[in-house]
Amino acid sequence: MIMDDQSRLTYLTRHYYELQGIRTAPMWLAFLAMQLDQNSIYSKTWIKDLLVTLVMFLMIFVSWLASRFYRRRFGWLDPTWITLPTNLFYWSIVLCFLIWSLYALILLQFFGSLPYWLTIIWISPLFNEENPPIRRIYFALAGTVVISSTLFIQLTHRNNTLILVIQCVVLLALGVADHLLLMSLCTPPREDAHA
Amino acid sequence: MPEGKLSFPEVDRVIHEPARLAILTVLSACSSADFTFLQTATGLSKGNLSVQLTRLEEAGLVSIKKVLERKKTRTTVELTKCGKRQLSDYWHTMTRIQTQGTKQLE
Repeated sequence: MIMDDQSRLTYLTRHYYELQGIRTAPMWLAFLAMQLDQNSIYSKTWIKDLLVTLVMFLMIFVSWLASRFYRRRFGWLDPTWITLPTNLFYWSIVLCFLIWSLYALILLQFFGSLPYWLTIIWISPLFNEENPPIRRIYFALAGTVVISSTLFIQLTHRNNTLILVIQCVVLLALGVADHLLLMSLCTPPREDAHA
Repeated sequence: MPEGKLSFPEVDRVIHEPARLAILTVLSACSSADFTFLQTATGLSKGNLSVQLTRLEEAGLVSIKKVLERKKTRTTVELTKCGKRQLSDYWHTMTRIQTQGTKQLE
């Protein structure tokens, strides 16, 4: 990844919390566990509920540990920038999709647009030109995988749980990728010669 | 150009030093940052970062606050109003130098 030092420092500071992918990973793991739990051997409802509650608490704890890790390892900052996408193309897609989903809901009685909405929300870094090309590439790949697999599952009338499982796995992978990007941005060559 | 007089724009030497410029670049992109983050982002050693921050504080470009948190001192640094203005002036000067230099080469 080629990024000059000034761009790297500005980007890292503005997107520091966004790149802390491991913080959100436990949430996707919890959702994944809940989906997989539906087909588990524990048929008793109270055992299932207890397990889901335990998993949720465990994941909240892991998320807290991850925040602590980032603060201790990389430090803390008070951000000033809100990284909302400003790309006109992105908002055009959102508008087109809004019209389509309303049309599908009212006239076709189609209720399956939620996974696409979720994808449109988390795919927004793809349209933010501040992001380095590598981040935009892996968001584009993730979006393509999720949208095409959702479309395939809906057209072939397969189990809808699969859609959520794919979303969770992809978001988990994106979290790891963001974390690796943060690591690479946080390790510049030591410049002790300036003392 | 008369001999002995340089018409080269004045560059703020406190800001122009690479390590200090890196610190100011980080601080200009956030409200405040702690010592660990500045160290992580700039790659400077603790001693060097401390020296550069003291220099910047003496020049009135940053303000340093020390907060006691669970028996540990956390150092947070933020850009002062004067620091923001001087950094902005610095970038304008650099742009002017770049424009002049490019024109001379053409």
